[in-house]
Amino acid sequence: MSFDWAAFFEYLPRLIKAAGVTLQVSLLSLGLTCLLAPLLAMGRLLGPPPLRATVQAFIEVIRGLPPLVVIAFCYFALPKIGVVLSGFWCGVLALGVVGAVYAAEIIRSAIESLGKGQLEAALALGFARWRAVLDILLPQALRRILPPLTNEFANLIKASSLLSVISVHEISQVGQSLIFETFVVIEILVQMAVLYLIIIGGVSFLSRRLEKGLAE
Amino acid sequence: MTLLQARGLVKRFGTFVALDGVDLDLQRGERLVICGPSGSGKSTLIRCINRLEQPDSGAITIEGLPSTNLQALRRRVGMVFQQFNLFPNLTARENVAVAPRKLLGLSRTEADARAETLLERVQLAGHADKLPSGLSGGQQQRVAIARALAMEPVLMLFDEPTSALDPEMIREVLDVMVELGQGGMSMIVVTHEMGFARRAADRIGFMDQGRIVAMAPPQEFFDAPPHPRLVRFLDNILGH
Amino acid sequence: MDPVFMAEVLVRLLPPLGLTILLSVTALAIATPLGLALGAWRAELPDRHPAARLIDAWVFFVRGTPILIQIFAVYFILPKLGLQPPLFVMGVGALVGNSAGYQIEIGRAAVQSVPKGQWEAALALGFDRRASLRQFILPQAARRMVGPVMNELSQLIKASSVLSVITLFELHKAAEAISSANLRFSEVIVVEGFLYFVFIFGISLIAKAVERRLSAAGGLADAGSFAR
Ligand SMILES: Nc1ncnc2c1ncn2[C@@H]1O[C@H](COP(=O)(O)OP(=O)(O)OP(=O)(O)O)[C@@H](O)[C@H]1O
Ligand SMILES: [Mg+2]
Repeated sequence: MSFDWAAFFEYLPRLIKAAGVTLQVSLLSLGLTCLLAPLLAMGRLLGPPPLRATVQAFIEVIRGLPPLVVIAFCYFALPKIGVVLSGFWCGVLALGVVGAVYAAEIIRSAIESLGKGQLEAALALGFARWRAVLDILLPQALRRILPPLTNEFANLIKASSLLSVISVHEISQVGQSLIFETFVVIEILVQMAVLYLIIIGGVSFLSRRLEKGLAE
Repeated sequence: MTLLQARGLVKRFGTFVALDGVDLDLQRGERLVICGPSGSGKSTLIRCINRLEQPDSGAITIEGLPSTNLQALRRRVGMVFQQFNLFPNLTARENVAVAPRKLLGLSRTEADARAETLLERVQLAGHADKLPSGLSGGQQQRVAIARALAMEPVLMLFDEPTSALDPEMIREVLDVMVELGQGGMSMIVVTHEMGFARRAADRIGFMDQGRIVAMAPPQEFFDAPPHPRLVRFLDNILGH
Repeated sequence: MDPVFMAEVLVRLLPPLGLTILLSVTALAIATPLGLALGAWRAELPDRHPAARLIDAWVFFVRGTPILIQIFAVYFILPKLGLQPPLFVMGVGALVGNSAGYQIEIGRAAVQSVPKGQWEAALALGFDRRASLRQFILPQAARRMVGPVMNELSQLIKASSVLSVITLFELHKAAEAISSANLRFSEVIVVEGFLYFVFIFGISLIAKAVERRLSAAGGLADAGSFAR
């Protein structure tokens, strides 16, 4: 086994382009996650009992499924009810929803970990329950939420590799088809791994910086 | 006869000098109390004696021998912590019996018998089967004393053994310690319980900024404090 | 939705579900002792020790790349080295490598979460570090590992679905095959999802109950991550 640098540099541009797609799809799903997660968390914490139960059931179901199944569902089953999305947007939707479910749990447990005292103090001052959560608890919980949330972003990037099965041209898909096309295995695998390590490593580096910054 | 001799102990944390050349002698059977303001190096001093902290320089001998073997040294020196540090997954009896059994090679029955005797001695005869979580703070600290005694140490170190306790439990722990001293145990006790110091100590040392700046028998220590910082310290602590 | 067809699918998916569980449980059985032991050991090693660097590099690779890449690595590289084990062995191998990487962190965090006072008490009694670790620290750390390790089983069940890409006929691959043969995607996915959910949710209920029993203080349950 020897390392073929010529092949390495020949295929590198295509993988770098694919890394751009990986980043795009991950960032867009992160956006969706950030939009949905607070709604799910608030629905679960503050909603009327039927809404609470529905949200909780939704969260548990998604948590009980491999992301690959959620992706397949969005790609194959949604068209049956008239929602037809390209592979790319299907991936954004699936990853955004899965991410939101986990992020909602992070938000909820952060708020619950503040303990009853804070909530009771706010209620005693005359805050309504939802105002107490939004104005008093959420700002306090934020510093506990941000570090695990950036970690979720790393997870979104990892999960985006699964979109190769619905032909999104991200790192894994491009790398895989290059391997089958060219039989250049090691060089391309190394490129894929290194690209992920750079992106995910970068995100976790930022996450640690953030954690430190917040701790001060 | 000299039990413990420390010469020129220096301990730094980074650039901060926690111990700044401490000399200390302890006779066999002597009871020494050490007090001083927070951060003055009291804990660091007694943790250096059983080498939970490694001094940067200086020498310590116990019974005339330098302590080359860490474990052998610690088996002969018992330590009681402010936070008790009982093993939460072991009952009171097991907490006391575990070290003699594993380190001194006692059989289970021998070790249990030793534990029962010691628990009785600290007034906890009926509590042997309880887990630490089922005991009050004062009871936990007395188990911790019994645990240290189980190795039959020649010297006992106490680091603020009553600071984490509610007032009504301080007494029961101090009583056990007084009795221990009367039984001839050599002890170094870091504490701010001046009543205990007056009652039980042979000498009292006062630490400030990493040095022992005053050392005297109780009478002189309280009635003619030999150092100006000590006068202020006593004023604060005794609430004059 | 055709209930008769779905019932049929359910029956046909049971053997692949069995394979999914077998894969996950086998991988867990190997990765848990390996990962936790390495993690506990790592907790005690100085950062610059060569073994510590090796362990850290493994963890870095496993956590920094998708499991898909790790599966490809096993699948493509082993044959290059002249090894051609059965798919099942490759699948288990990839899952073990991945899971051990995560469990190293579980073991290490559990050991490091035991309060320093416990070490000091053991050392002050005259136990050396190794005996202190074995006698006092590990038993306390073990309780904190139970929840996360059970959690790890559901993570493995989820992760094993990715083995479909190397045509290992576990639950997801089987469902894919049935649905593309019949062109009835939604019904098959619903049945497949139901099977995954029952198992993973069941495990999470058991894990929660066990954890509640073991320690009121709470283990190191992570809020959950979804991708490997
Ligand atoms: N592990 C450590 N790392 C850095 N600094 C330390 C460490 N241990 C102690 N120190 C510092 O050394 C100084 C002396 O600490 P020590 O614990 O001996 O004080 P003390 O007299 O026991 O105080 P207290 O009454 O608060 O227990 C303190 O300023 C403390 O901050
Ligand atoms: Mg102290």
